[in-house]
Amino acid sequence: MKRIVFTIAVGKPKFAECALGLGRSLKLIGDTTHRVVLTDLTDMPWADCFDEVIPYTGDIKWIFFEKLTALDRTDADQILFIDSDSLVFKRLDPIFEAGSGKGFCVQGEWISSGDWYGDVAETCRTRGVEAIGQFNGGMIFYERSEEVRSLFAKIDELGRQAKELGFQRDDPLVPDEPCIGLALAETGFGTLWPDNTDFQNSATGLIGKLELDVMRNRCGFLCRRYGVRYVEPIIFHASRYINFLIYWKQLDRLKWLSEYAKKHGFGYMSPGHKLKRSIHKRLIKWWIRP
Amino acid sequence: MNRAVFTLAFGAPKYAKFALGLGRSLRLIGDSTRRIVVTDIRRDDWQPAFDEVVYVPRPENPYHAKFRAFDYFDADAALFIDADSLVFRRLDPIWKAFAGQPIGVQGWTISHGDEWHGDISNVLNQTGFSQLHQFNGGLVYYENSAESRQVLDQVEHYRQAYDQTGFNPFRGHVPDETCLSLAIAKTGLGLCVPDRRDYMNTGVGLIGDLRMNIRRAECSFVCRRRELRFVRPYVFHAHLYSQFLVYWKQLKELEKLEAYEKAHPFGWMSPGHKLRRSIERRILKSQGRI
Repeated sequence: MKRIVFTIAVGKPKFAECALGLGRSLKLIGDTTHRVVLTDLTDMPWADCFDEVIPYTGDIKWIFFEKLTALDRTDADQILFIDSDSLVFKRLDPIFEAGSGKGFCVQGEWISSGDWYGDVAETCRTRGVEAIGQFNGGMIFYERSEEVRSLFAKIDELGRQAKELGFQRDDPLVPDEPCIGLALAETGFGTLWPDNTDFQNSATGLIGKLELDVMRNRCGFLCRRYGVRYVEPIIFHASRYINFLIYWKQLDRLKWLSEYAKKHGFGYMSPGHKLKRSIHKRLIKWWIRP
Repeated sequence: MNRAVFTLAFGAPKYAKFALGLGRSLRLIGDSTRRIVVTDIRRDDWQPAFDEVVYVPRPENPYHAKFRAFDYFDADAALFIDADSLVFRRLDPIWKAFAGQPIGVQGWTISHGDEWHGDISNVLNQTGFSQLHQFNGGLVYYENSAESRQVLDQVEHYRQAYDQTGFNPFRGHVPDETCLSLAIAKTGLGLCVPDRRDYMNTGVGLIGDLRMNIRRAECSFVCRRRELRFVRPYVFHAHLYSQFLVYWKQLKELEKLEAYEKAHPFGWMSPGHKLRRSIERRILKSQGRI
C-alpha cells in the first residue's frame, strides 16, 4: 500500500515557501510518508523535504481541482492532500488509518442552510438533496478505487457547472469545496470526519493566543467554531494566518533548521554547548556530587 | 508474561544515584513493570524505587552484564535500561513492539563507508557481512528463550574473538553494542526498530534547549543526528548530559519527591494550600458563586 502526502505550489514564490514549510515540518517530526509536490516553481530546494516533484502545466482557473489529480499523476494507493500553507505537528498515521478503506474523506459536517458559496438551502432544493458537505479543502484523503473515480467525475461535472450553480469566488478560480460537498451528497459516497477528530484546524474563531512553535512541536489554541473548544490539531492549516507574523516565523525557523542540518554532521555540539558542559561538569563535581 | 525492567549500577556511588533516578522516574509516571537493580553498591534506599535488588560482585566487563539478566533474576522478558536514563512515558509500547522477538534494539543500518567504533568497511570485510545495525546499547530488550540464548551465545563469541572483528575497543573494554550487532547479523534474529520510534534518545546533536522537567513529565528537544528532528523520547538516556546540571536537577527533584512521599500521608494538603483554599473560598462566597 503506497501512501503519499500531496501538495501544490503554483504561481507566486510565496506558495513555494509555504509548501517547503509544510515539507520541512513533516520531516522535523519524523513522518515517513512519501512527500510529493506539484509545482511550476522549479527553482526551489524541493529536495530538502520532498521525495518527488511533479512539474505543473495547466489552466490556473482549475487549480483547486488539481488536488484531486494524484491518482493520475502518481502510483499511490492512498493520498492525503494537504494545502501548502499548512504545518504538521503530529505524525500522519492516524489520518491514514482513519481513512483506510473509506475511499474519500474530509473533515467537516452536513449543512442544509446558511451561506456557503451561496445559499445552501437553495442549492439543496434545486439539486434535490437534504444537505451538502461543508468542510475545509485544505486536507483531503482519497484512495485508488472505481468509486473514487466516479466521485471525481461527478465533482468535475459540477465544477463545469459551478457558475450556473452559483458557486463563485471573488477571483476567477473555480471553487472545489462546494462541488465536492455537493458531489458527496449526490453520490452518497465518501465520509465526513467530525470536526473533533482535530486532524486539521485553521484556528478560525481564535480566542486568545495562538500557540505555535515548531521548535517545541507546539500548536494549541482555543477557538469558536461549531462550539468553543481547545484544539491541538495534527495539521495546522494557516489559511488566514498566512498574513500573520507567527506563521512566517515558523517558516523561517524550519528553513534555519534545514540549513543547520546541511552544515552540521551527526551529533554536532556547538562550542557554547561544550563550554556549558565543561562548567556544569565542574559544578557537579564540587557541589552536587560530594 | 513475566516482565522486568532492569538496570546495572557498579562501582562509584554516582552510578547508584543514576539508577535511583531511573527507578524513581519509572515509579513517578506510574509504570507498573517490575523494576530490578543489579548492583554491588550496598544502600538502604534502593526501595521503593526498585522492587528487587540483586547484589552481585562487579563483573569483569560491566558492559556485557546487561546480557545476563536471567542469571540474576527470573523473568520471561527483560528490558535493560542504562542507569543514567530517565523515563518520561510508560513503557507499554516498547514491550508491545518487541514482544515475541528474541532481541530488540532501536537504531539504523550501516554499511561500507560508515564509522562506528572504527571503520565499518574494515569490519564488514573481516566478518563477511554486507551491513550491520547501529544502535545505542542503553536500551536492549530480550526474552528468556532458546532463540535469545542463540543470539547471546554469539555475543559472547564475538566478545572473546573481538580482535578479529575489526571493531575498536571502547575505554579499554570490549563494547556490548558492537558484539550484539554482529550477533544479530550472524543469527538473523532480533528486531532493530527505527530510530524514529523515539523509544530512547540521548539528546546527542542538541539544537537549542533541552526541555526536561520530571514534574511535568516533559522531555523534548530538537537534535541533529542522522537527520534533524524534533524528539519526545520515552526514555531519555542522559549519556553526555550526566555532565549537565539539568540532569542532576531532575535526580534531586526525584529524590525530594520520594522524601515527600515518605513524610506525608495520602492526600495531604499543605498549610499554604489550605490557606489559599480559605482565601479563595471567601472570594467565591463574596461573589455569590458558592
